[in-house]
Amino acid sequence: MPLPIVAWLIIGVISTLFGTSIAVKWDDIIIKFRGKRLAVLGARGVGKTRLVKFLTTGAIPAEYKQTLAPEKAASRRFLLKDLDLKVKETLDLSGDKAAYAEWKKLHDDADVVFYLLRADRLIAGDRDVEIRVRDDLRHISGWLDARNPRPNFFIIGTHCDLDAEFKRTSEDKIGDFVDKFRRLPIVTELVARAGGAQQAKVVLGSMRSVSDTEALVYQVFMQVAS
Amino acid sequence: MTEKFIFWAQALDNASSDYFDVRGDELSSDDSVRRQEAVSLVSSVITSGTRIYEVSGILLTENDRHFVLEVPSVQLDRAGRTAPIICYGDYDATVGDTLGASAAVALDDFAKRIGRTLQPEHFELVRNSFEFLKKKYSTKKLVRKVWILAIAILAISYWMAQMGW
Repeated sequence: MPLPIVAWLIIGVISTLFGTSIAVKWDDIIIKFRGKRLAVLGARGVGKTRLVKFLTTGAIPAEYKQTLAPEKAASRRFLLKDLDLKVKETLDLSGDKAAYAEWKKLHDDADVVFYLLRADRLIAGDRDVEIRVRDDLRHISGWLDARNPRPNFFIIGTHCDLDAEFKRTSEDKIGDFVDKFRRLPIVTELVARAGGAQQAKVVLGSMRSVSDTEALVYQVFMQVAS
Repeated sequence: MTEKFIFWAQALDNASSDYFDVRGDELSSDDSVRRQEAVSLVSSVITSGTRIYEVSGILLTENDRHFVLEVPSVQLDRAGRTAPIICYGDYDATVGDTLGASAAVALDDFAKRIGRTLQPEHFELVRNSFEFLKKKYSTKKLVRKVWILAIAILAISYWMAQMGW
């Protein structure tokens, strides 16, 4: 006896839902297998090179130079505590505003976008840094809005080791410090520009040593994984 | 002397605008379009090209008759980092004969104008790096000639076969 039309409809709906679910899962699996393509953006001297080198080599360079011409960084798979991370090849770009077009290209190809800024300077009320990050986010927010789906976006505050209060803060109170940082008017504005707290995660830390950098990267990738 | 090249250097205070000299024209800090164009030219060579020389911090990358040369200056920036100068240019069959020498002179001129100095031994290395560019160009030319010859032989062979010879 042929199946009634209602049964066919139910089968159709379930197949569609199940098929979509398989497609989404498969997409996740493919991305996880291939690794994440990262874009590390930010003004000059915020630590882009240090983060890119750490992610792609596992070490922090002993000698530094200003990044003008882009530097190619190879892909790498590594374990960080309980996280199995695979980072695709990327570019380390100049932090000058003249590199905005290159930033956009990197952003447009990325699964995860990190925007680095000097947290210590924002906390200290450095007006020049505020102007610069506001300008950067004005551009980046436009690029984020144009992406569908949007990439994971993180605002990473670096150089916290240079802030006296951060240095005094015990590990269990770091969350309060981060909340206080998020409440800074400029940070609130940046997060709003980037689509709100759901879209733009704020992470603070330092890259003074390898262990500090590991801690910072772990904080970030825990949120990428979740 | 700088009209053949594009020069780019970052300010030592990491806050002021970068220095750009595009074929003899110093770009003002608000000339964002030409600044971004200059950066894009440099980036296209680096991302698509091949690094052919890397000695004592001097890096030469080439792609499709364009090159990017990076030379460290003596001065360090406020964060204690080496502050390099970028030189972008085009090359052709005369590469190596005069290009290396003129790039070294123009680099020195640009460095002086922005208050930098280059290490004397780096001038020789810059000239030397262009010898590698010359070799690369000669090899490319030879490969191209071999390809043309091979295609010509194939075409003649085909034509002869068609003619029943």
